[in-house]
Amino acid sequence: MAMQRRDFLKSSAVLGVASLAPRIAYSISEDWSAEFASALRQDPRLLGWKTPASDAFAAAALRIEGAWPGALEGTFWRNGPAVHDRHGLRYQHWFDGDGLLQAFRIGAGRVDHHARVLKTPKLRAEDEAARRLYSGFGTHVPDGARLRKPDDVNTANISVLAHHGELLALWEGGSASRVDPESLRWQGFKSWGQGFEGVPFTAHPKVDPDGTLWAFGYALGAQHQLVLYHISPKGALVKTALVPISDFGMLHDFVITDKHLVFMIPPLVMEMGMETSFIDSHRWRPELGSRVLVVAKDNFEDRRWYELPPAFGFHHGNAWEEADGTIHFDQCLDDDASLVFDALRNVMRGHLDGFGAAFGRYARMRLLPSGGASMDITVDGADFPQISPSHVGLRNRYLYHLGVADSEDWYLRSLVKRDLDNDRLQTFDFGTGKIPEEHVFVPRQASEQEDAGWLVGTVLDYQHGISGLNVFNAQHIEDGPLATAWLPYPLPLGFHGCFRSGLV
Amino acid sequence: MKTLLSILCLSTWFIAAAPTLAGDLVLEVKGVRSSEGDVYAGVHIPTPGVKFPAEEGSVHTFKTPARAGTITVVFKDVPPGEYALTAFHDEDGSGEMNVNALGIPTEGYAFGNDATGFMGAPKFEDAAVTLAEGAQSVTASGSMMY
Repeated sequence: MAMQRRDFLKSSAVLGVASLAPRIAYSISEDWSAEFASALRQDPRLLGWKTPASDAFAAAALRIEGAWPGALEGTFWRNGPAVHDRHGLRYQHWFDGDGLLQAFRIGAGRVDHHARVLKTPKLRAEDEAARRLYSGFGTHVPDGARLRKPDDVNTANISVLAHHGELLALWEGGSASRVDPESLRWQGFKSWGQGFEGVPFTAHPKVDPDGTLWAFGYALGAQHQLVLYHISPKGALVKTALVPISDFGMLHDFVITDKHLVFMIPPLVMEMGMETSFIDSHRWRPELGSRVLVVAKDNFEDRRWYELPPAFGFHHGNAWEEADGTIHFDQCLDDDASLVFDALRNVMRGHLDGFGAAFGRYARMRLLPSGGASMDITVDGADFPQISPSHVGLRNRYLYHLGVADSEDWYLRSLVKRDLDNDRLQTFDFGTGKIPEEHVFVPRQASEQEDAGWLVGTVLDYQHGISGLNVFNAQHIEDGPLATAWLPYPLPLGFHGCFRSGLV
Repeated sequence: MKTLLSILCLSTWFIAAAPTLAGDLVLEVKGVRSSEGDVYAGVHIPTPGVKFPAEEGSVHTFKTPARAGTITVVFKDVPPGEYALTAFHDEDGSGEMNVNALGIPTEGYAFGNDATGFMGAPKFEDAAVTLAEGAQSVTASGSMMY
């Protein structure tokens, strides 16, 4: 019996998906460790990009300032890059660090914290070799190991999802990772079904109010493709599609209505054949504009395209549609992708100049049944938008995000509640010395009001060298946090989290 | 663990070969991670009009029960020339190399010299070894990647 060479050839043709990461313009021969350490001594804000001293740490019964709401019970999970320095090497992009999964277990007015670095196959192989083996998103490691597939460099470091009793640490260039919710240990890569081993899965899946999960992946190779996933509330793969997309590249987020999936595709294009890193093999091509792909939830072959001006953003808030088919959605948008090329890289060497200015502004888009489309970008610096989970895909009145408090801000410093019906804002300014992170909306039981609930999220107090977990009354965020549970240590700044009542 | 499989005499394959010039071609498939299923391997020669590693470019393929470690196969009386090794580990015994929806292999595979390609399979010459005229033997070696 002969080996199936035709399959082998076909397979080999797309191995390039895995071949992209290891080549980069920036060379690790330039060591940033000393430069960062020196900058940190001068500027305590950089504490947010320092590697924790240990791979696992915990603190029980945190000191609580204020009145912690007794009705708020469950687990707040967070993820983000944390292992920036290891084996004598400091990574040169914020997105490269291996993921740190955290659980804040909340109940009876008490908060416990537990954090553990995810020992992915990538990190295990590097620890066994006692050196960094793989180039990452934006760091080149010379003489690295052979790269076989995207999951060889999976750092599981972007977000975390609890779905149908399973806890998943999310990356976006490859598989989601299964994690034990008790020990926070990495367990294995998640496959959504036969043939979906190693197929990229976004860090921003969307969950319908009924528990249906919608997700995508971007597969960049000889033929760029968008992978679509429809997953039932019980975690079963219902349907998928592969959509070829020309002039495609990194795509971080998407948004859903009750009937459609909406992809805002920026003109950030992966150009094949260049011997450079993942992000440095992208080119900003504004002449292409932004393309919006709308796919019907009930038929992945039903696709429509819209055109908008060039812009780059990481995160969406929500989308919804009117009876006539007009689709509304929002995103935090910048004029271009310089944030990811420059600011998010330079912070690793301790350079914060231009860091805050590189973040996006709140923008609202409209897609008309006629085929027209419009984009309205506000002047409000914004990122990490969140809504009530009961309104995903439905018209929401409220959006919560981090914002800038004044034009001098070097980073997002306030928590903002945006009333989309009248454009009124409620703002809480954390003040100098604190860096807030994403705050997620946790609904209060048995309430019909969209904003009846809490906002839960972390904050780094870099002046005192500690982090805390805030809880806000979402109806009055301008009053400041109801309570903050303070950790006895600082946390590295991370990305995304989720809240679940119960363990998962 | 090292497994040595004694192997067929290939003189019938290379009928034109002058016996005095022929040598041994040793195939080494390293890093087989388990004894599940079978290992398939192939010997390729330069074939005009055939893109490596297409099946049409192979002069011999074989299948052997997988054994963790290194699998070694010796071909006797092979004429001088260039030979490239390909292999895959059919762990589930399906008779095929499994691939995911994107076509990326989900079972282990190996190329001679551990050759890798950019955006695809390696080139034949990167995966090949040369059995020189008068040489007693040459080893074509590659490690499984999972």
